[in-house]
Amino acid sequence: MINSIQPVTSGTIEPARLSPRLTETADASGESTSFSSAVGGALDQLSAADNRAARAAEAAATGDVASVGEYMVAATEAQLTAELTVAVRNRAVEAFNDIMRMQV
Amino acid sequence: MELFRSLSIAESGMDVYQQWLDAIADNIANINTVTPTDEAAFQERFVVAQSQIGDGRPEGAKVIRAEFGNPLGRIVYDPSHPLADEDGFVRVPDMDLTDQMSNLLMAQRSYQANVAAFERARAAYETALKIGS
Amino acid sequence: MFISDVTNQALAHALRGLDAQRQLHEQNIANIETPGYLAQKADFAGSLRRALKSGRIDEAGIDVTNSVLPTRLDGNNVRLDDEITGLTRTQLHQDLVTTALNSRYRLLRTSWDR
Repeated sequence: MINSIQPVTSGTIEPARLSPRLTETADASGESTSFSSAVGGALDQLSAADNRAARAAEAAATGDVASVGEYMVAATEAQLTAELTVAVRNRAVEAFNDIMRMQV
Repeated sequence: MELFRSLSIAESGMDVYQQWLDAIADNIANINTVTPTDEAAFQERFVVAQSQIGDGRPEGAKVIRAEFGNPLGRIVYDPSHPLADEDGFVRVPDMDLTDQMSNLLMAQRSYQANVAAFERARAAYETALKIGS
Repeated sequence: MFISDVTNQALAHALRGLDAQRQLHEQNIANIETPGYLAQKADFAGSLRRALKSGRIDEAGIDVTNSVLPTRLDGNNVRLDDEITGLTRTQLHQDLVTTALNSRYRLLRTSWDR
């Protein structure tokens, strides 16, 4: 969660960056995760899901996929992972823009 | 095809019962075929089916060979028949029309059951194609 | 992910092969009474498999062969049951490949969406 912004009192104003320390969340194990690593993690998962879907699609083309269900599940997972990644990326961009607007 | 295995299996079943139907039709067509006593009678035709397994997975059924009934047939007294021997006997097939008709019903029902299995499998695959949409 | 990468090309080739299969089934059915006519079938899966393995997707082709099943008295060997079930199988496979192609395009669009 973002802490409330304190009024700027110093003379120099630094442009805000989407720093990993700006927003921190603690997951169940007590370790802190950062927003950018969440984005990075999602991109990795997308790449892996996309590869699985591509191999499954090629197997579907040759008729070698073990079952229709197997292909459909791989494709659906890839699609959902992509939508999640896009949502995470969009939030990251929104947050960045919000912060840019906040500077006085 | 590996991919739509249920369809291949049902298809093999249809093929088996189609061949059985052919055999029964042949028997019925020859139910009264007369032969002279010095020749074999028309022999009832049977099909022998075998279950097919590949890599431990089912692959349906297949007709592996035909078998034939009694070549002696039945001896019948019919002196006016052109093929009768000097004692007036002819050979007729050792087959019963009622048996053939009940086999015909079984073959037809089994064929239809395989067609139904094929259709159900097709509907199931079409449902699977809608996953995730 | 390119719009026409190897996977999409493979799927496009499968659609062409399945279309050929369907046409041959229809032709066989139309010729079920033609004396001397031998049933034909199209096969693309083997060629496509090899092309994917070698990485040269352009080399995937479609093989058309005559059926070696025994002929009837008129020299024709078309089996109606096989052709009709073949049409069903080809249709289902085409549905699967079309779904796969649509999924690939949808995935691309999702990653472009803002």
